[in-house]
Amino acid sequence: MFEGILLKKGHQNLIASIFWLMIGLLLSIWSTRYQVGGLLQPGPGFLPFGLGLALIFLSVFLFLREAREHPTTAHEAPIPSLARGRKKMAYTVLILLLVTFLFEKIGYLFTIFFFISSLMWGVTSRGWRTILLVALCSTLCIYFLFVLLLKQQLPIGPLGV
Amino acid sequence: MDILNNLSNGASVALSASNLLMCFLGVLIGTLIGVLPGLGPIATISILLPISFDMEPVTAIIMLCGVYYGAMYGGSTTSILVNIPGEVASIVTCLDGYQMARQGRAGPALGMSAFGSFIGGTVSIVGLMLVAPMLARFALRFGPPEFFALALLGLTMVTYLSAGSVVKAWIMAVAGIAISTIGMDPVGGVTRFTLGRITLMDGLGIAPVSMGIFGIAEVLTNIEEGISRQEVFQAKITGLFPTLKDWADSKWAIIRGALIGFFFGIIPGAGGGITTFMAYGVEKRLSKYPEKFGKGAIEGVASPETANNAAVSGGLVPLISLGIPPNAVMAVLVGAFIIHGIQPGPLFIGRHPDLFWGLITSMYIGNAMLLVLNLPLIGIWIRILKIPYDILSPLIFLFCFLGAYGLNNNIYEVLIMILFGIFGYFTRKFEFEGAPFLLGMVLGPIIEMHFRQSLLYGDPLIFFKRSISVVFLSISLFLLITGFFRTFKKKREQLQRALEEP
Repeated sequence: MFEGILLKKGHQNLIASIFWLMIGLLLSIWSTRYQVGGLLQPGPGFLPFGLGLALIFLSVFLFLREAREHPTTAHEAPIPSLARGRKKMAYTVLILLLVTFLFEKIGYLFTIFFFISSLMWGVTSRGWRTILLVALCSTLCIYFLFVLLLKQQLPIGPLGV
Repeated sequence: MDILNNLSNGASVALSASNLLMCFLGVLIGTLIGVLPGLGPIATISILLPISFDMEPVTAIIMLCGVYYGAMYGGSTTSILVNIPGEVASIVTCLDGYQMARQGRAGPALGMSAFGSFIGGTVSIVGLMLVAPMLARFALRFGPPEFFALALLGLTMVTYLSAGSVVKAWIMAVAGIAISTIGMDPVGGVTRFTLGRITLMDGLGIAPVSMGIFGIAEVLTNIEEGISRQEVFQAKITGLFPTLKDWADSKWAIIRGALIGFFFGIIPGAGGGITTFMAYGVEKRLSKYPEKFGKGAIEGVASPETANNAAVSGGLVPLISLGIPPNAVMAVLVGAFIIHGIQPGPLFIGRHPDLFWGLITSMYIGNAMLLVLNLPLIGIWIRILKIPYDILSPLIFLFCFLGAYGLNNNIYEVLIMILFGIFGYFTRKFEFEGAPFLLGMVLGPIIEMHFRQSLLYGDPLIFFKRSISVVFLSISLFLLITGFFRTFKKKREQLQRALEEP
């Protein structure tokens, strides 16, 4: 269902306007926790409150505009499905988050090797030899460039590497 | 005489071994990322920020600026040889550059693009050298109301000139300002929206956010759409030096491109992208043979390539003399200045003459380096273009990852980058532009601080009682209204077309 919604531009704008409306509401309510003040003496919550209201106004404007034009966009030809690519993209985000979690725990060398190999495994159709070779070369390059040459402090894992 | 003295002092700074080396590295990296689609100057400058921490401020700024104008050179190579623009500013070059390559004239196209870039870059540095100090002297009259109005004008211009919907651009700009309110309040020191996290006390850094929105999001989109390398132009490239006829055809295109690039580059929001379209449009309109455009006219390469390089120095004018970044790359550069303890603005040239004149001189040198480097290295750029994207994309992620981590050796910076990468991916899908968001984020603290300081005068109408502020606010209001009307008009036309269709 979500994919179907994403495929039509008119619907996209309606979803986006609802999202920004929520953000605007959240921002205006949250900013009242800080002193909002008035025009003569604005407090720390003044600008965020105003921005929240601006987001609400703009998102309602976008919503109404799209809702009014909805009948004409309903027959828009759908964009070709990108379901396969979307899975790859989701997999990439998952690996990125996993690597962020592991980076300081198992050290940069293992993480980088795991990162490149798992990402290539999920995104490309290359053989495991190529994947391992690219992962190994990238890890070594990072070691020489960032650790030896640029002297950047990268986290070391339990094995001392 | 003053300018000559300043230039000679600048030369002594720019010609030091470390600055020359970093200028060289900057333009080389810039050309490389310009050649490679998927990693633009914004993400690259952000990645290089932590590396620049240990450098002298002038060395760091020379290198980071080198990346920017180097990318403008590199972008044309991909446009001409692969028909994929390496940068937004090289989109127009595809039209005639690729056609020239198909007609066996890739050499003159690449050569003219390099010479045009060199001339545009050099002419605009002269402009920067003359205009920035004058504008800075004028801006010394500005108080908080003028700076508030100017920052607002900058933001309005960016949204007005956005490629898509003005409403969406405003939503992104407002969201960017809202994000900038996370952390310490610039006037009272109250912490806001930090969820009790110490990492958020200083607010969100421009570098991880820009790496996320422009680096991670771009590669995620490419992975989803299954981008693969198109066939790179295979034939041997000869005749890189344009003929006398090519020069005769291109001379006015180069001159006009340089002027359009510089002057429109100063305008917030115009940047390299819009100036190239304008320069190309002007050339086509003025040409005796407009029908040749799009079919391999050398003026169609010379004009946009000159304009995009001239726009780099144009963009530095408001940044250096007013402290207002006119585009997203300059917004990241503001971050670089601030990290090195330098505040761009009207007092910048007076307080840091070595940096200003050193940067100016280094840009002359960098442009010359690019001209000398680019033509002989064309074979290497072609080989780099052949690296498959499925190998390149994990490496781009890796550089972004290590770049974000290196900012503070803090894994939360990486997490912020990834979250903004996901945000950037969705905003692209929903056709919201990233540039107004980033500019909103940079201009947010300026807007808030000057707005609240202005109100300390005790009069909420102070903005309408000072002439300069009134001028800026009137232009903002005019652009705001015409921008929204333009959206209405466009939508009405679309609606009418849809109704007329059988």
